[in-house]
Amino acid sequence: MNPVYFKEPLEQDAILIGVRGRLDHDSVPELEIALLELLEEGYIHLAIDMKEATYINSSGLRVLISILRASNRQGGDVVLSSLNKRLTDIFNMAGFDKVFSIWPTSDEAIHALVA
Amino acid sequence: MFEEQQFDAPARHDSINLICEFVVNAAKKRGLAGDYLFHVELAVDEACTNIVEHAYEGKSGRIYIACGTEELDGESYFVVRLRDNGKPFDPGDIPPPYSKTNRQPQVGGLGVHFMRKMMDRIRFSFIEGWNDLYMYKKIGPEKA
Repeated sequence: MNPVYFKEPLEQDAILIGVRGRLDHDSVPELEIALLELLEEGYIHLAIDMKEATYINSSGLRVLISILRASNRQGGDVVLSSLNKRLTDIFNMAGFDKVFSIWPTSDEAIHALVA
Repeated sequence: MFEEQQFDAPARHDSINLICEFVVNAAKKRGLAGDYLFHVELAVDEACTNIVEHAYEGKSGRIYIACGTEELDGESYFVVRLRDNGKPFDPGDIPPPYSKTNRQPQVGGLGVHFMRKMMDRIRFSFIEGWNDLYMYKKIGPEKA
């Protein structure tokens, strides 16, 4: 199952993406390819909605940080939204809450991204 | 009595979900629930990933899993034991992903960091060619 289940272009170089399911070693190669393709297409501002994501491990976090760094190198940014409690705890424990801009809803994330 | 349930699987990434499922079911039977099950799952996931990537370095091998309960200092713990005969890999040798001066998260070492945070105790030994990891989760009311 592809972890990216929807893509909604926003402005010229921004896009909203929904990810779902388990973000672990099995699914993250596909996630990384999908996100890198978006960067190559010129979508350097990524809003990733994680409402349907149920699990993340260090492999999933590695991919997100690598995409954030790639986006930043191109002058873009990555914002996240709708993390459930367990994912929020993992992000806090990893210190990633201080690295990513994380919002309760995708609307707020989009506003932060394109404002 | 420890080692009430045992299981083994090839040391490959595609075995890890099956191993996690086995351990989570064993934990449920011993009264763990809710977030505690998630903590155990994540710790086992990260420990098995380290075995595949660092102990066996992608080469063939097996992971031996045992689950049970143990009384320690008057408290009851769910215990997961993971053994492999790959290269010695002591999670205690992995530094925390942060230093006092650098709060930027480092991606290396995150798995071991999660194992330490998710479980109440971790014990490791390398004896006669076997890595032997014990991880303990206290059996008690689920955290809010």
